[in-house]
Amino acid sequence: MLAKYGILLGGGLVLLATVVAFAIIGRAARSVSEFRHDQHEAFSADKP
Amino acid sequence: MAGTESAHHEESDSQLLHRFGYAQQLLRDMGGFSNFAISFSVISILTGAVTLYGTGLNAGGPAVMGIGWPLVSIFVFMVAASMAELASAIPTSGALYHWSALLGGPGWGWITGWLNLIGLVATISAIDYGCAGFLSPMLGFGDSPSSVMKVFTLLLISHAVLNHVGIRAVARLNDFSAWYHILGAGIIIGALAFFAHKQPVSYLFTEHFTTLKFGQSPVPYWYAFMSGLLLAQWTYTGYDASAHTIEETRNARVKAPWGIFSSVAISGLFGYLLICFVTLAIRDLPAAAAADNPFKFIFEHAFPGSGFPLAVMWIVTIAQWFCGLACVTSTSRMMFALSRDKGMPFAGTWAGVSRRFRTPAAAVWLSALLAFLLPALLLMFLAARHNVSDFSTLYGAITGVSTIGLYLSYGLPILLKLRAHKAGVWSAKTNGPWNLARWSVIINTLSIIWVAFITVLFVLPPNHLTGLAFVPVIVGLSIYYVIGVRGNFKGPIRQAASEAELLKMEAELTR
Repeated sequence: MLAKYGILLGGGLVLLATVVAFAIIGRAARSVSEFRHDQHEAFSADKP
Repeated sequence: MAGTESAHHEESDSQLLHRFGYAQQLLRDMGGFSNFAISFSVISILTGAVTLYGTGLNAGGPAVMGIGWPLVSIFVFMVAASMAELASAIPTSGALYHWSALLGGPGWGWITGWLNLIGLVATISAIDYGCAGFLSPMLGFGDSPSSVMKVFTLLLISHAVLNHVGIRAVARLNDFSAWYHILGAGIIIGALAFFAHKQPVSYLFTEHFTTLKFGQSPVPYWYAFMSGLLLAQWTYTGYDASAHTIEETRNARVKAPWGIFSSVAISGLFGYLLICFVTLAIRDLPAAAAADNPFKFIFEHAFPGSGFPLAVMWIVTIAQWFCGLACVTSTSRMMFALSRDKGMPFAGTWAGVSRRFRTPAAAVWLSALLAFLLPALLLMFLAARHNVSDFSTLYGAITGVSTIGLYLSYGLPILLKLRAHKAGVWSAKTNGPWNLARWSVIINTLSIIWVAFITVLFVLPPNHLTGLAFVPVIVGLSIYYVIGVRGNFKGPIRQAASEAELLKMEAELTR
């Protein structure tokens, strides 16, 4: 089975690992950015 | 401008720490790179991926490298992301232990702390014992268990002394170590890519090979392949170091989570390139698998008659020394944090700080002593049973204990966070800035499933020695918990009741 589907399986897993890593990086980066934005808004709203 | 930003983060980091009842006692001068560097150094692709290379190759051949590494990486990315979320929400240096205690109560915190400690101590053992296994023959002392143990002892002493007296030097060495690992892996990968004879890329995915047997019977290939995943899984350990040093990191709620995740992701990339190019350079697979040190064997055959194989061995051995150094730092911090909250026997001793060097000196030396005892006791056990006491048997057992201990301690707080989420205790407002938002529950769930799976996998044959080492420890801990801990251990202890008192403590430190 490995001889027949090994390349497909290996290639698919490499692709999936890359997608998972970049998806997590993108999601976390958006959260950090939104958090800063929210904090900034809260700070501005508190100003007299 | 940079100074203003730094001062702003310092202020908010300290204020946040006060909310958890702690004063800013540790010097917060670690940047994002330093935080990444300590985890990257403990993961150390030049340690795990090299010393366990033969274990992986014998278990499932080239497919363990080509297919096994990305398979493990997918789930480890999820575990690391789940831990990064927790670090961002609860940025204290007790890390896993504090997360579990706050989410599940003191008992959960205590068991998480101990599992983490067992995993970290076994990691020091594995790194330094692996380093000794490489260094002893290179220094001309041979590779007998007694020679390796002597070199192992000297390596442990060197790490303990440096961690005791030279914490500034240790911090700088950790930064240097990150660059050293990237450069070292780059040299090895480059040399193999440009100058070695290579197999076709399909070799990584289609070659069906194992030497594992149950007695005289062959092992099903899928099972052998699974047991070979220990190679990748053990390499991906120790990234909790970024969380243990979170109270020393500026803008901690963002930088430390990135330190956890980026150290894993970058190790994933470089580690994969490294093991793939090493595997593609194999000329005679059965001979390489049968060699005492398959990694060394492959280089000697890829670059015959040159000094490069010896240079590679030195590059790897020095990287392992750096890795052991960072791991002693991480372990001693964890031991210090648990002892400070009276979670260990003779806690007062291990929570002591050297007045002269301002390091947790007793915890440093206890870490080294326990790391020495694990392989020593396993060797004695094997000798008493007239069993095989070769390097790979012992090394597999130690790395198994390390992997299971650490991953259980990673998994427990993630499980407790899921429970808190279900109970409505953990909401979007509880999240730190680094979070996975709607993806959090599914990624946390997959992380738990993976941790449960590898915990079972790595105590089954051929890793049954891991179970023999781990089970008595768990039984002992359970007895100790019931007799001496339950009801007495209160979990993380607030240093002061009010912010004014915490500020006073901080002012006294800066005098």
